[in-house]
Amino acid sequence: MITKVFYCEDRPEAILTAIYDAWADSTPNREIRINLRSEAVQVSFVEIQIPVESSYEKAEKVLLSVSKRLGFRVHRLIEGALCAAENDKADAIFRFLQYAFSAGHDVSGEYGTPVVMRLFELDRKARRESHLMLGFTRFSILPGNIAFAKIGPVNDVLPLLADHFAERFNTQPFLIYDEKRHRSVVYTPGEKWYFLEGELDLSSQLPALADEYERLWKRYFDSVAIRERFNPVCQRTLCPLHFREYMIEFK
Amino acid sequence: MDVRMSLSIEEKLEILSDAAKYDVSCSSSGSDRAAVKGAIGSSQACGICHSFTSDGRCISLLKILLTNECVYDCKYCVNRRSRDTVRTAFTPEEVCELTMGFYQRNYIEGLFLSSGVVKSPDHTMELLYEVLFLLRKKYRFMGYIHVKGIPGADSVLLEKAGFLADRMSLNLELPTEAGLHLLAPSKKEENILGPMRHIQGGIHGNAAASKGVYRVTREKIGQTQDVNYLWETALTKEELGLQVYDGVQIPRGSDRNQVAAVSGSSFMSGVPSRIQATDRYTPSSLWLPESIHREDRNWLASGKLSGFVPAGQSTQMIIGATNETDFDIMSKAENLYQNFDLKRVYYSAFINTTHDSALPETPDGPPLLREHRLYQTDFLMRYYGFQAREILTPEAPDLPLLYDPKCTWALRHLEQFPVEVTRADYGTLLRVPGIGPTSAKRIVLARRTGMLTFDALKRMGVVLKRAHYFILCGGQQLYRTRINESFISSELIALDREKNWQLLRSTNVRQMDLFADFQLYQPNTNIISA
Ligand code: SF4
Repeated sequence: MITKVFYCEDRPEAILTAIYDAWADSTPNREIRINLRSEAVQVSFVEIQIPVESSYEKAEKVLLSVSKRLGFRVHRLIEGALCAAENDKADAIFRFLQYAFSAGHDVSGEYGTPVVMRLFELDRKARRESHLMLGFTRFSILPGNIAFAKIGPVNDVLPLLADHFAERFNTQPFLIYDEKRHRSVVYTPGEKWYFLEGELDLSSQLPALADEYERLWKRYFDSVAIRERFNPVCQRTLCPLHFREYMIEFK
Repeated sequence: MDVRMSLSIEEKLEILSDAAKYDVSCSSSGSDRAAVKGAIGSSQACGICHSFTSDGRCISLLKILLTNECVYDCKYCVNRRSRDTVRTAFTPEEVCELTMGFYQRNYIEGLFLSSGVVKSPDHTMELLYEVLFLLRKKYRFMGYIHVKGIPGADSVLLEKAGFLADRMSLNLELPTEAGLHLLAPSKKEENILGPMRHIQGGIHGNAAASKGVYRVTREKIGQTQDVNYLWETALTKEELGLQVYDGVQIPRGSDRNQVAAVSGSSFMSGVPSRIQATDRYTPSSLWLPESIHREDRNWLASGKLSGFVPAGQSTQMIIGATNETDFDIMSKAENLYQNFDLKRVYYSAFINTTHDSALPETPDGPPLLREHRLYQTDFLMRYYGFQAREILTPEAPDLPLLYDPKCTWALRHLEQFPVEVTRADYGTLLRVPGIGPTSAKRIVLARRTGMLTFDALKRMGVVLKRAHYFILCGGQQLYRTRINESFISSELIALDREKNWQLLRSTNVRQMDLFADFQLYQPNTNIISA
């Protein structure tokens, strides 16, 4: 039997497009898989490889039918899993959706079912990091009162952060740049946030002098530690080193 | 007292944060407020940690004193009148600028404002109110505010501040009146419990206020007899001092999950998925104390904030400065949860900063392991439905330091085990060592639709190396083990040996992994530690 393999980029909308295409293609008796383009391509004569071209429209359609037919819990699971750092996520989501749509209802509580469990794990991984990033993301204020943050998360958490910061900043424009994936979220008050693609170098925009509040924050950070409770191991567990690269109080 | 106002903001920040840091409560949870047009800030129901200090504690709020000047002389306190130290004070504007500057850069979730007592409790409460008012109204700050209630301050002043804050706390400091008398002679228990009761009444009148875990757990496991709904008992509103809230009853609104359900595909299009909850009440100006100025009443009544102390009250007790037992402490905490509806009780291992002759010296450092066991017990009461008396008794009034309190309880009640996970109800599952509220809920959900296996239990978050002694899954044990106290306890101790050894070895090492290794106590992160 010949397997069809859809290849897509590691972007949420690309994976959803691949799922859309794979779904449309579902001919009986044919094995279908979705792989991320970053994975080693193993050419095999029993595989047909189909590259996927991202389409926001198709991606939107998939999400819409998920929330309509399967409920918001499943929708949330998919959102999280799409952002996970794991290589099998595209295929895992596809298999999960095959199962969920055939069940036709909210299957998010079926922890005993392997395809559900896998999705739940992917979601948990991504959200664990995105929850930490809600606190660990550091902004500096650029001329023109734009808050700017640079991040480099393990999981693709940027889409999971956008709503939170749009609500939190509300009256203040901001830009969060993921320097690993070359993608930003841009928000201006009163409008929806959007993704900005491409590499960004704002170092020339940053004020030359250290911001007064950065100095104050460092001072505060040092003064609130209690000497008698000194415990760097616990600190490292709760705030792992790779986050600290982006946090001014550790510089 | 010479109060130096001319210090730089940096020096003030250092002095007034250093003086505030021994107050442990720092969570920013419990208040869920959506963005407001034209104002910066929102508030998330689950706490967010912004950083972790070198002692492993979470920074969520800018925790400062308005001033470290104080007319009282509590023996354990770094700010006591008789202590020779530099005194200073922030201006209200300075507090606001700092809060806004830090908030804008995402260093903090909000402000935790406390103060030494200037002139009198009333005067101090007025000062705190002024700062809060400026921050909310002029700076249009909608983030989280935790304000200290000053014991002995007039209840109207507490109320005023309560309409601007998310959380309010009065520290009990010591679990018994005798302890207070010994170390803080100017404080009376009734001056702390009285205002707590008053605030409780106000919170009860606020439909936007969230319920405490203690109560939610009991509703889930059907043990509401543990909770006293005081306003439903014989006590009159007058007795509760509630004239202000008379006659106003707003029913709780629709399920927030239902609201979230319509938010559909926010993900790609950037529509905020957190639609403003429809059950947020608008406080009518009726609810506000007369003493609030007319214009301010109108602003407060415009419904931008979430009413009176929406994130509830908390308190703190110092552990190890006086000789109360763990039983005394946890009975007090239970009383506060049951009768005062507190959101959190915090326990703070005593750190001797003043070396007063009435205080014990602590050459081995603060009693951190004891503090940790108390937090575990607190979690057992709030999240697991235990009563203090099940864990501690007057005959055995102190927690063993070597095992955690849940294992201790289980070993004493082996007749209730093994538990069959495919059938046991939620409340019973909660009592199994190695199963927490999240994994118990997953078990209940999962078995509706499918078979449970040990592998699935593990992936759901059950700590099998602990739980397997106590459970059956489909009639089977994971390994063939005896259900016998001495056998299991020696196994469990072996499991924990290295950790306990580290915990006890020396002050520094003792603190290792205290928070990280025990899922029971992770301040502010219990949302994510599934
Ligand atoms: S009243 Fe508060 S600040 Fe003043 S000495 Fe007592 S504990 Fe310290």
